[in-house]
Parts: sequence; structure tokens; C-alpha cells
Amino acid sequence: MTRPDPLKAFFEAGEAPAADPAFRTVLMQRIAQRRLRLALARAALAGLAVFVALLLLRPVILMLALGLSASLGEALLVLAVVGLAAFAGHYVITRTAQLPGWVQRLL
Amino acid sequence: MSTQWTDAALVAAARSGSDSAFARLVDRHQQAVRSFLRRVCGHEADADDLAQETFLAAWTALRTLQDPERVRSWLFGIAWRRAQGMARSMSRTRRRETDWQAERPEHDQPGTELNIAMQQALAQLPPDQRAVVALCLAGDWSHADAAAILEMPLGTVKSHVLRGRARLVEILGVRDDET
Repeated sequence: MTRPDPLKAFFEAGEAPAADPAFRTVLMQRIAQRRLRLALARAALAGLAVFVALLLLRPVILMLALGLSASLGEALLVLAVVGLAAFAGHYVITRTAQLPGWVQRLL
Repeated sequence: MSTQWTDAALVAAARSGSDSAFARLVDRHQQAVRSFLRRVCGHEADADDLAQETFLAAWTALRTLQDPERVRSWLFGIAWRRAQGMARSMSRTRRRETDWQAERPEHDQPGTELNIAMQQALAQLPPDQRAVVALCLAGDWSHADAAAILEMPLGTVKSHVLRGRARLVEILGVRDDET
């Protein structure tokens, strides 16, 4: 039969508690805080990267915007004409009232 | 979550973002890690702060853990490295996260005569020897495991165990048939 270790009782007296909800709760709170900080840091980095990219591309973006304005006007005119034609066509097809005689003769 | 989950399964779940899995790992290993740090540091509040830092570092570095079955020895390795840097970090950690310690149950407070005697005895050992004693004599780790955790040669660990034990027996004045 082996004799008990005389140091065992001394060591056991210094054991941490087997279960400590307070320890775990504080730790998980700190983990949540660290996760939030990491997410914020990533978002800030991404925002900074986009800002720098826009700053570097500013001359190109300005040139494109100025160049687009003329052709954009023509495109808007085409869109307006096509839209009006579509609206008129829709009105004619789904009309509930009789068209004037001269219009019926044209159609 | 089932209590039969292995450490490896809990590590895998924690790696994929499960906080409850990591909390279960904490529940499973906090006693061993904190007991080790208490013996190494000699100050319970500082040791518990270090344990918090250890688990926080483990959460951050969980993806670098190569053998999830050996998560406990990995945690002890982190704890030991943190304890070695304790002197420069204690001034910072002492100011932080101490409120929760007031909520601990009475039986967790330092004060038993045996505990005080052991803390005073351990304080007289060199830090490396104290760590080896905390692992091999108090924590039942093998000499090889202790050597791996503390990154020491096996012979040094064996030597520290023998000398540390003899010194503790002498300081505490206990009768020891092994010496």
C-alpha cells in the first residue's frame, strides 16, 4: 500500500473552484467586446480603403462624369420618347372609351 | 450541447463561431489553468487575470491550434508564456477586470492555512522550478508533457521536480518517505 503524498493536501488547498460562472461570464463578455472591436476595425479599414481608392481615382471619375453628361442627355431623350410611346400604346390597348372617329380611321 | 463532446469537437465548433462551445471549453479547463497560474504567480487575483488573458488569447489563436485533442496542454503553454511576462503586464491587468472577483463565493477566497503555507513555500522556489512543481506534483502532468509545455529539456524538468519537492518538504516541515 502506497502512503498518501504529504504535499497533496497543501496543493489541494490552493485549487481554483471547479465551476465559476462569474469567471466564464466576464471572459465571454470580453470575447464579445474583442469580436466587436475586430468587426469595427475591419469595417473602418474597408471604409478607409474605399476612400483612398476614390481619392486616387478622382481625376478619372471626374472625367467620366463630365464626358457622360452630353451622351446622358441623348439617352434621356430616347428614354422619354420610348416611354411616352409605351404609355400611349398601353392606353390604346386597354382603353374603355371609344376613340374619336378620325383616330379610328388612322388605326 | 452534450457533455460527452470531446475537446476536439468543441474546438471545431468554437472555430466555426460557436460561443457556447468555447464557453464549455472554458468550463472544462479553467480550474486546471487557474490552479496552475495561482501556484506560479502566488497571487490569486493576478493569476485569475492571467487566466482570463490566457483564454482570450486562446480564443484569438484557436485556428492555429494544430492538435485539438491536446487543447489543455496548449492552454497551459499560453498560460506559462503569459506568466513569464507577468511582471511587465501586471501593472496594466491589475487595474482591469477585477470587479467580478468580488462576486466569487467565499470558499474561493484565499485564507486556508494550508494554502497560505504552500503559497509561501512556492514563493521561495525559482520561477521555472515552481512551474515544474505546479505541473508535475500538483497537476499530475508527466515529465515529458511538462517539458513540452514549458519548453524545457526533459532532464531539467526531472531535476526541478526532485529539487522542488525536497525544498517544499523542507520548508513545510512535512514528513516525506520519498526523500
